[in-house]
Amino acid sequence: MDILNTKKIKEFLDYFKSRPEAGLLVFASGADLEETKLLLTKQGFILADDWAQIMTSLKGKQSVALMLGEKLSPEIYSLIAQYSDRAGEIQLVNPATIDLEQIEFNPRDCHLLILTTESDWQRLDEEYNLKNKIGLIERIK
Amino acid sequence: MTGPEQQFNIIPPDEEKSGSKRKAKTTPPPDSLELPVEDAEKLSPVKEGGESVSFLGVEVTKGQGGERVPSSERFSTDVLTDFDFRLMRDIAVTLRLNQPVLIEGGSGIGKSRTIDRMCSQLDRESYYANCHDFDADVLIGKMTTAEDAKSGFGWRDGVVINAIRHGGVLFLDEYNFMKGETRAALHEVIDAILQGKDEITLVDNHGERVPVHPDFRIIAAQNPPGGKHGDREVLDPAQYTRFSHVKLPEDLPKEVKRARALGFLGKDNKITIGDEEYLFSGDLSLEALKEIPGIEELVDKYIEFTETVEAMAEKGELGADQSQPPYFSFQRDYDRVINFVQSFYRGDINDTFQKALRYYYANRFESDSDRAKVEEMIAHIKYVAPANSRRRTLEEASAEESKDEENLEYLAKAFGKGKEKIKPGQLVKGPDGKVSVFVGVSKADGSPVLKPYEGEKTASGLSRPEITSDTEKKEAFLKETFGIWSIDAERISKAELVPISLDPKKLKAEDWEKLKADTDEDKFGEYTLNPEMGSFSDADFEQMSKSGKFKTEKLPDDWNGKPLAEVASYIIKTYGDKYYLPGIEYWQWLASNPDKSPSELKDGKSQFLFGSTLRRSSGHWNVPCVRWRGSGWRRDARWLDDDWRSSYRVVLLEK
Repeated sequence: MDILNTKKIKEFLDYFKSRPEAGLLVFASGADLEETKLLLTKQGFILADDWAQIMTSLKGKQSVALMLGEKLSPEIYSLIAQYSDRAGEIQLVNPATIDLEQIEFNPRDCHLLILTTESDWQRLDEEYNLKNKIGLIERIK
Repeated sequence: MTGPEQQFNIIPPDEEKSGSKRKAKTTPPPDSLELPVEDAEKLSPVKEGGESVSFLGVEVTKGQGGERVPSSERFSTDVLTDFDFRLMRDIAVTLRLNQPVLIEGGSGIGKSRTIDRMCSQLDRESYYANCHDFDADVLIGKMTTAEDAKSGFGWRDGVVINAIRHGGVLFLDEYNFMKGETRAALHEVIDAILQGKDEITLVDNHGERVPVHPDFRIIAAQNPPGGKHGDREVLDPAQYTRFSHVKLPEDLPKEVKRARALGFLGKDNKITIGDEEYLFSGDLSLEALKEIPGIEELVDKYIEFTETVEAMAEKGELGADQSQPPYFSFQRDYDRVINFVQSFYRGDINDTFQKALRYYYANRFESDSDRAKVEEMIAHIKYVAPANSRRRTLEEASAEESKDEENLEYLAKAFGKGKEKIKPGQLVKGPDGKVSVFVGVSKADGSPVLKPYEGEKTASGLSRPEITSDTEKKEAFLKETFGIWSIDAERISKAELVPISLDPKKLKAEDWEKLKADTDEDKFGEYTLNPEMGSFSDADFEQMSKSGKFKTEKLPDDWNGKPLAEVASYIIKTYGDKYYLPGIEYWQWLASNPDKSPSELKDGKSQFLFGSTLRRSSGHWNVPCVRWRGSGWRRDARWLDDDWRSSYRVVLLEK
């Protein structure tokens, strides 16, 4: 990843961490996405692609970097929607047990950052209109 | 930031005064758009009591707590604006009346957060279900391997049944982003609530009957279909009409964003909600409702109104820019309206009915122009008392009597017939052919008792003062005041603002009682003036302020809870000799001169001016009062049968 993009991501993260909304980084290159994962790990983010993992991390006051592919499960969609709209609580039905699982957290302390590629994002946004659920968005070209 | 109590503008229960219990009145209170002074003094958008919380006056009982009650810390930095308080009020109505509601608006404007915040304040559990893509069994429940099932296979409740069993607020988010079969399953639940059923049958769990917890409530929310939310479905009439509908904007209005932004910085975000936007709870049985004069006329007008609104919506004359068309179901809507009226009736059936229609009809439309059209139609839905109960002029009386053969016959035969048509105070032609005032019927022989008519007088037998430019100014002032009180403009324009010269010192206790009992909506606008105050000019009032020649008096505590009519007698007896009793002329001067008004009166207490009384739109006689609200006077007037409160004061001017 070139220096400019690294700088761009760091600036994005500085501002993103002051916001209580989910953020999104859209990468043109898969390689840049992988490098960013490392950067985020160093900054204390937990890498996750599963709703239960995210719930556990947020409950433990840890920020999460969520990798999205071209498909979105109902649980992940609901989680993203609740992260921004409900500001501090997520309730999700565990599809295996159908128990309602619930966490409370402070969105200013533990953040949800979504990582995806440009091609996946186009499909996701077209189908789910995710832009409305997310605060800051940055494209890394 | 400040704590949640300050952010929510909550008045903690311990600040509630012991005198807050209102005694039930059988006769109507004053114009319902005004608050009782007692309420006004504690006026706060969100007010917490021991057992309930009120949101712009709408009282909702608290729940029983539980692990799903959102913690208040989550909302400690919330900045609440007029927009938020209005939304809270609208949600509170649905919680109070147990009517499923559909809130439609853009993403991020605060729908979910508002519901969570209210659940926190109400100590009610919140059950969230994002409807997107979930299967029906996830929401309702299903047979699954369960540790607690003896066979190893048993029923597990989904989120919906959980909420039904435990009595939470079920929030169905993204309602129009749901699979068809899931919605069909949910309809069974919603229908059960609409039909007032107290249990739901789970066919998939061997027909288990699940009792519906009395605190169970349903709130659905959705983004408007189309546009940015292209995948969202347009609800059909069968789905849509199961809910009442609160339509919110796609994006927050600029002023709301600004208020939130300024509030976040700790600046005053200027709550401007007027008293008229509060809804205070009443309690009216269906039996009592059907006895209210004019209810049939209102129902007739309502039916006409619904047909017109529906036709306009179908033709695209209303709601044309809304991707989710508003649909109507007469029976469901009517049930809701009547339920609302029963719950919020405070003595003015026109006002309560109109508020109900604003809630259920105007709320369905987004654009200001659509709302204005609906509001205009709603303004015409009111009961107007028959013209024959109006106070007639001499000419009208003569003309009517000459046309009324029965009346003539009645008079000619010395009131032997048709006397039920004549009311005390009515002008009639006496046996001598002269216009007289009918007083009543003699108890001794049933003959009519008349007294000479001495020129234009009021029903109270009090003379009118001379009409001067001052009178005209008072009339303009009173009309302005009625406008502030949100009395219908047409009603104000038709009101005959009749000044009556009345020396309060000449009134005995029984006279005050008569005034208290005297009710006539058609005499709305009549007012009395203390002749002693007639010579006072604005300059005199200003001078008295400067020289401190006034007094604001707190009455002994044993007067608290006694009706104003009784208090009036006491005040006159106690202070009448040494002080002038100012009335409407001083009311007007204070309102027009807030900067010159005595600072001693600006203590947040209600300052009463017993020199005048005023008939409000309910037809009752009221005593005017003012209360300082930071930058100006709030004008009010209390009915002579209202209770005196510890926070009330009497204004006296030194002789």
